[in-house]
Amino acid sequence: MHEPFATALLLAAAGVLLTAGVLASRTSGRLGVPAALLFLAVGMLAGSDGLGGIRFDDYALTFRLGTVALVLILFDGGLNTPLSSLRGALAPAAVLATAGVLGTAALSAAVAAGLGLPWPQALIFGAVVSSTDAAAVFSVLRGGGVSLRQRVGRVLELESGLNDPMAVILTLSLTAAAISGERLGWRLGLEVVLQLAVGALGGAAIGWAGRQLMMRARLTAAGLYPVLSLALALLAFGVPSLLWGSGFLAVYVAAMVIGGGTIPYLPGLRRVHDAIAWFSQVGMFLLLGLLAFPSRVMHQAWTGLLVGLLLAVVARPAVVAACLLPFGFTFREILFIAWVGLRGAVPIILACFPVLEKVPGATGVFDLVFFVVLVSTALQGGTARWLARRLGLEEPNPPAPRAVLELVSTQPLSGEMLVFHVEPASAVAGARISDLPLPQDAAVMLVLRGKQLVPARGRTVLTSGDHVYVSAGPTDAALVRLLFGQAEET
Amino acid sequence: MKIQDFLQPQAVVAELTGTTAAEVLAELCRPVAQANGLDAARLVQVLLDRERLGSTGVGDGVAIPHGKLPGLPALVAIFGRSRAGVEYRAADGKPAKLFFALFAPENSAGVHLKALSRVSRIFRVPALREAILAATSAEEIHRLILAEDARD
Repeated sequence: MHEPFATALLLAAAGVLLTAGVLASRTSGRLGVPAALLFLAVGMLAGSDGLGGIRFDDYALTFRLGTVALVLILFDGGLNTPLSSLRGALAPAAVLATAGVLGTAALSAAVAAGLGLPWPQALIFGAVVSSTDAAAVFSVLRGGGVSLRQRVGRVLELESGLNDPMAVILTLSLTAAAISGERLGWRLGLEVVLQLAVGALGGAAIGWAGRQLMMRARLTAAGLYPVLSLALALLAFGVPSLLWGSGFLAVYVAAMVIGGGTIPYLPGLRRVHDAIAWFSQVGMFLLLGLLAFPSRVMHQAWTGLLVGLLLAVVARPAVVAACLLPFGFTFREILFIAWVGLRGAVPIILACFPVLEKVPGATGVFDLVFFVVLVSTALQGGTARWLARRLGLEEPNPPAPRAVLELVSTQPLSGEMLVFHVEPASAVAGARISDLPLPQDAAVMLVLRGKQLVPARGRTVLTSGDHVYVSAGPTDAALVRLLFGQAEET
Repeated sequence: MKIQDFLQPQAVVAELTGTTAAEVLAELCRPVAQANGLDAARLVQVLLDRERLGSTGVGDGVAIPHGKLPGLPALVAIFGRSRAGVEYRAADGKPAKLFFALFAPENSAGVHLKALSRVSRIFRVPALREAILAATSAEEIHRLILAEDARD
């Protein structure tokens, strides 16, 4: 077909697929099925065995686009991970993301070998399915309306952001070893340490430099800030990777550092990256759905389901328990963290790599992985919320509803605009604005009551449920927080 | 508004021994409950309800836990000092050593707020914090707080 028709056809098809995928997600809440699964289903329906009949079997393109999508998803995840959440969660998450991944890989490989897969493929299989998926975990925890007790949620999110590097390193090394026939030795251990160290340091450095850049660069259009942050995301993956570091770790760390700064337009940036991450997730699962041939994958169905189940109920819980017991987690917390070790798109992307490198039996591994992911997303993802409630791990007091009105500064300001949700326990609840002993530089600017904007007059009484917008000088913020409570994240 | 109106001389605990925020709050509530014929557990709950919204650790080792209590005749306060300090999720990450707890009657938001603002103001003075940490008795601590409050 000739241009421009080929491009037009491609864009039209992509548009139809994305629309179908996005609309399908609306039913996911009702059906209790994770949205990702529906994106995958739409992709499979459109694929060569489905109604759409689109022929797509480009593993190289999938691997590359999948990597880009993962980078963008991790960047968004990092941007939304406050540095303060590291406290108390970093150590357990780091153990899960390193030793835990290694343990899961070994146990999964043993399970696969026990079911008849030759050892080289079994090892690759183990490595491929060893990491939990950031996109899947984020979307179940945040999108699914699960509000978890702080530590459990933080550990799960951090783990999912931190453990992809380990799985990537293991998969690439084992694939290389399977081709060359070389034995893996102590060099693998050294490489893991090197990659993680360079990735973490490189990510922190780029994040810090990027933060300085964003604070100082006075861009003329607010729309250019997300372009700059997007560029930083690409740099944070690319540069450390070129320097033999783990780009996935780097991009997550860099985003955390950038998000921890007082950079202009941060809420806007978060929104843009949120959209980009969603786009990446929908696109990635559609692509993976297109890539999977139901007629071929079905051969592996029973083995796949069995391996998936064994991984979910044996391998992962054993490893999580071993990793977390020293940190004083309760049995219920361990059970939940083990169950929400969701496998998502990452294993499928990683499974493309051995296929690309023409490892014997790699397509068999791919099909197997596909089922493991299916089991994990449907079973574990679909029941995460129910389990959280059953185990009593849901936050008894769900977070305050977010204000619907946002004020965004495009330049660094000397003061702060704080937004508070007034709760019965706030000292200000029931007080007239004129009664607030606010310092000289602070003032209540606006009150949002339901969908009504209430002018901040002296006689206005603040009541529980109000969102109150307060401007405060840099030194007054502490007193204002004492009177109101914790400021909402903006 | 003067601090001496609501901080009684006997409402000063010179040596808090709790090692966690919850233990310290319980230590502070016990004497208040006894003096006013209230349920100590309920007082602790009122303070914890407020802490859940965000730590009242205002930094520099100072925490001002507070809450509203229906049926209380007037504003009640208690002060406590923990030499070792306890982790209190303060804004500056430092452990809290000086605790000024306030209980206000329901529907007295104005008084409650003024007291909070007053307490937070005087504890911003570094000399007062240092003097309290060095003080040798509860009476001395009480005197130091009232003297600082009388200065302006």
